[in-house]
Amino acid sequence: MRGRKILIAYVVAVLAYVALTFFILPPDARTMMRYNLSSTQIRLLNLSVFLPLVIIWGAAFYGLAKIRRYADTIKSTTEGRAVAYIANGIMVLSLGLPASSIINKLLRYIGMQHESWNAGFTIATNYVSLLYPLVAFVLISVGANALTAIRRQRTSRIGIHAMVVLFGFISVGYTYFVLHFAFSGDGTIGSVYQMPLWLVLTTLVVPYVYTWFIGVVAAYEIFVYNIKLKGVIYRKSWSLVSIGLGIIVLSQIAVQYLTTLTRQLGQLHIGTIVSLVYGLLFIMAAGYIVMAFGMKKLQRIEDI
Amino acid sequence: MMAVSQNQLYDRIVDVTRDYLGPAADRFISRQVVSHLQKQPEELTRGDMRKLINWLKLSMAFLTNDEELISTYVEQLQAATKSTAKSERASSGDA
Repeated sequence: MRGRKILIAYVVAVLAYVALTFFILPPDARTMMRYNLSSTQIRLLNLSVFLPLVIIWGAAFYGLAKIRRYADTIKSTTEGRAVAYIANGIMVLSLGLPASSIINKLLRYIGMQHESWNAGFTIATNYVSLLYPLVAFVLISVGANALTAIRRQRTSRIGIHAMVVLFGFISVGYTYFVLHFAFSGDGTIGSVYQMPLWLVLTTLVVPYVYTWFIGVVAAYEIFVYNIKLKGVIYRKSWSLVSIGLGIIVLSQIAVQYLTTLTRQLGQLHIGTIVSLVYGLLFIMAAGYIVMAFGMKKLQRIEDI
Repeated sequence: MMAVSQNQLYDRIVDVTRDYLGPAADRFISRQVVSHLQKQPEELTRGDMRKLINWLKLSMAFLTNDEELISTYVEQLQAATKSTAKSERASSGDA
């Protein structure tokens, strides 16, 4: 996608979200009842969530524009193919952010209008939220692996063991949250997943943990590529890309944990929930901006 | 001058630049030679080096604010030019 197309995609996403949230769909009746809010207060609440969304989507699309441009510039070089894979992964992540928000909003509304379809739409929402990061991180991982292969680099044994330990904690922690918070007393139907436990574990938990693992491995491989790079100026630019990607991956993991804790969060004050959402959104935006700065510096080397 | 010596000079310049620009060094130097000297990289001669080093110094200033880094880079380019001249004289002497 070229710069103008990326800008158009961003504007279309924002307009679609505005149209749905403020003009087409009525205020969420459940949220109004739960927090004792009027329809005006709900619309103001939607505005307070919409504004950071616009910022995070803008940051993601800005990051996409920078990496896309750099990938196109170096496409005929040794690193070109690897960077193109990473750029495609960032494209899926960036497009997936507004797409999943819009799709989830629509499905939630239709589910509220037709109670019998609610379970199906909840399941669809969960898989939409899983699918785009999975595809994105697979693409980024292929690119990162190709970069280290070009330099014949190997990740260190200590690094691999550290990641295994880290993922031990993440996967056990996530599975604990899914089992402990996401299911009601009978253990078969949960307000979050609407599926039996075995299906949640095999088709959601395992793919989520796999997605985060390959995302973190990709970020680590780009870090290894970076620290073993020759070229002090070139290396500094790639370190920004590596840091940005790491922030994006970790904030994506945090969002999934947040989703799993939906039932517990429902007992918190609305201000606390909004603060948590804001915090994660800005962390994610920071990741995209840092990555974009790195790409901008790499682009400058190719432009001069 | 022989074509092999000119490639040697270009290769030395790229080697020096690789310490700063990594994998982008070759295409960076090639671009500078083509756009500022209106020559192909294999046509680079010692006589072009003063002009090329000035352009490289200017281009590096766009990439980094570190003046010490830039002056070290320029010194290394000048040293590479001199050492290529010495090795050419040595091989002409042998011949």
